[in-house]
Amino acid sequence: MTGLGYTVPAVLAVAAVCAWELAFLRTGLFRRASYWVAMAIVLAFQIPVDGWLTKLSAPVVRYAPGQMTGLRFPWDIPVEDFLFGFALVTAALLLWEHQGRRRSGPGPGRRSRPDRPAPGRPQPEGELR
Amino acid sequence: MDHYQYLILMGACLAVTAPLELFGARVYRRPARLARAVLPVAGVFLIWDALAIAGGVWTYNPRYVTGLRLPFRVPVEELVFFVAIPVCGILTYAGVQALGDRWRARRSRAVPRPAPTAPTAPAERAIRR
Repeated sequence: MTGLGYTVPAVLAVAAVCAWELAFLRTGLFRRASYWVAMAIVLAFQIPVDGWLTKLSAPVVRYAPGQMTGLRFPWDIPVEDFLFGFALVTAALLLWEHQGRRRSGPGPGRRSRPDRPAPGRPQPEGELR
Repeated sequence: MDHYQYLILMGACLAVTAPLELFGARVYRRPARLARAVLPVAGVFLIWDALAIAGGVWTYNPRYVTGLRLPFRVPVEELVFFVAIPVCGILTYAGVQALGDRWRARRSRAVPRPAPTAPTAPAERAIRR
């Protein structure tokens, strides 16, 4: 554990994604129950998929031991992979929500009241299709 | 077959999540929105990947990848990963939302609202006071 070429960027990626939402995008994703339910499901599937990719008996991806904490759980999954996965999936979900919100207003009920503008944000005229 | 292990795993992820589209996730039916959510994130993670490969943070077992490489020695499997996994995440999120919407719709149909009297009640109270 000297270089931390994986641990440090993984922590920074999570912090960056959270800051991106809280300071810029403000989609409200983190307040939505469906996000946390979906992330729990994603986590449950990450374990077998990532477990397969990182198993030390026949690894698809091999990590330099000096670049990470060396903690592997469950199975042989580097704990950093969970930060990496969280940042990857959350970033995509933020953009997905950002697109939907730009088109038709915020919130889970957006389909039932499509004409409600997003509070505190200018409505992008002409982008609605 | 071993060389396709990584790609087969990604195919399995897409296959497992594909039925969510039929449950009302409506993700593949909005390809432009999906692309705008997934591709920028994939681009950023590919840069991270290229830097990590260049720095020797991780390597790919030549036994389990095709050997096809993108610029900066990034295996083609990684591009597939950075597209497939966010797509699976968005499908999961949209699937959870769709199931929630459906459950709420069913509940509101099953329990008839006491609509006719409720809106007038505050007014009546005001008059009495």
